[in-house]
Amino acid sequence: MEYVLQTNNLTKSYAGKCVVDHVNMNIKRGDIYGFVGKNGAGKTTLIRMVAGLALPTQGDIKLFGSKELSEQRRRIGTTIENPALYPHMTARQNLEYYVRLYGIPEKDVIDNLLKLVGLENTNKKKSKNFSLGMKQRLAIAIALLGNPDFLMLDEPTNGLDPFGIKEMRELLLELNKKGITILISSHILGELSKIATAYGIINNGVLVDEFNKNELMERCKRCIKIKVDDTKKAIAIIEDKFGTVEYDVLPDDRIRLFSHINKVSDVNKQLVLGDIAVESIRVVGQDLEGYFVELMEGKNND
Amino acid sequence: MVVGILILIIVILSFRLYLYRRQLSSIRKQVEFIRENETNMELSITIHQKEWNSLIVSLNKLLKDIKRCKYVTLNQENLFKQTITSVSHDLRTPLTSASGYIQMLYKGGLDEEKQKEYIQIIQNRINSVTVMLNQLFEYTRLESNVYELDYERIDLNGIVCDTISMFYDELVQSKIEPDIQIEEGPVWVFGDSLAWIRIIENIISNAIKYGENWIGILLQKEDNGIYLRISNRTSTIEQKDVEYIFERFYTTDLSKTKKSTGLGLAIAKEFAIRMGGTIEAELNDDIFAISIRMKSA
Repeated sequence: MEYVLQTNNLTKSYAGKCVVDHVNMNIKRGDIYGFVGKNGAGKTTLIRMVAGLALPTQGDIKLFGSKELSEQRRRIGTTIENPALYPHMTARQNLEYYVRLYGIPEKDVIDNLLKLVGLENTNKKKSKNFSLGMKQRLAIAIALLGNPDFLMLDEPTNGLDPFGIKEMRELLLELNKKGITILISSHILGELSKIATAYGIINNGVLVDEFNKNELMERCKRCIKIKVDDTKKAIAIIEDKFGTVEYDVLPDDRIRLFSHINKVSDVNKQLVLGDIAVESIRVVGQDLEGYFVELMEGKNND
Repeated sequence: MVVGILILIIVILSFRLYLYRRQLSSIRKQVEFIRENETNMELSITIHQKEWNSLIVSLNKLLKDIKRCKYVTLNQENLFKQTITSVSHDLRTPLTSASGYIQMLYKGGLDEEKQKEYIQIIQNRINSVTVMLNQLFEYTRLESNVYELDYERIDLNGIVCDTISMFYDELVQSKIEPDIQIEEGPVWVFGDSLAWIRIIENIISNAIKYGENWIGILLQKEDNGIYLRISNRTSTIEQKDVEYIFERFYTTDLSKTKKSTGLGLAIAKEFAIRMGGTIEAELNDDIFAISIRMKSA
């Protein structure tokens, strides 16, 4: 699997205090990586280091598997918390500036981008008069100039209303389908869980966990996990005694029962009565929001 | 004087020549970078001159075409992988269950009634595997465009009635009272009768699987078109599910065992669109409905 970004013990300290603490982050190509952490957890600092806007105190960064950062950074588009725009210019003028700077030959690129981010009707409005949401979208349009392979968006949904958040999600999904790997930092989980395919949780500068969407769903699925000596027979007993087919069998032969969750002891009893050796039986899973909050608070740090 | 002008021209031309050579070498470097790295990047240019500009624009068009091809292949590959994972998971569960019952039958010591019951269960599990495999096969064929539809003028009214009657037993078993409102005479559409049967079958069997004690089937003529609506009462579908309902392998509640492959509605949609119709899903309070509109023939 190819990695777009890998950091090795990446550390940044200001005045002896570690803001980013030995982070080993791995982002695979094609992922939408949800970078979750409380405000001040170190998200922006990490993004700034990757983008080359801040120097690491320690550790190193690999982009697209290469350490030639200045060459590879051309393939990244970044927006940092407060978008840096030219306040006296319109959306179009802001983009025109960068089109010249980057030497992009296509004439229609500005129109296409304005339409893509939904700013095509801002006409002569100067960017200083934009709402925060519009500024965010203009910043994304600028980040998209030059067809980046990797987009780093710092809190892109800040200042967006629910409708804007939905539009932003759709935009990101569309970009992702075109092969752009995306990192989105956020302190709100709800908006991420709908699109992210991988997650990194940061707490006090420490990357406490990294997992993908499937792993997250496995962790949060509420069910009774049962490991027995004879899976097939156990299933027949469960179907027979509890009249349910709401179970499945994992590749390692463990059974997951999705009903009768508060009847663990009954299930156990019936299995034992059926002459089955129960190696383990327990309820697993919790709700998504709760799981993230615990991770962010550092409680699940085992 | 003349010499002065000539020297000036030479100086200007040499400077231009220098710029052109620099531009050429920059383009070469960019092309190499794009070739060596799997990237979305396109060529950029520093000289602002019409000919150069249009050359780079055309080269970028070429790059865009290559990218498009790449994503099509990539998406197909991903779809294939996803299909394999999802199918093997869906097949494992009923097969493990069937083989559990076979084991209990082997052990013996069961009275005749229990034996019959177990054989029935095994039969059901095997049937569900067959249904899944058929759906998968059908969907793959539809996706790869090898599925030829036979167009003819058909009476949708008849097809709807026939298909509903096939579900009679299941409806009775699930204690579902169907509320059927259809036109008196024939309702003509242009399409493939088998495809229509599959559409209606898939939607109704979905409605039975996830519905609760009520199913509504409505077929009526609209201004130069037909309108078919199959709805059911539900407590499991949520508003957020509605927009994904036609996506393959989408089943509503992730925590529940899948009772189906999640291909049924995807197949229905493919067929409906192939025959030039529109299909949409909506949820109003606890009523989930799928409606199809098509021109009448």
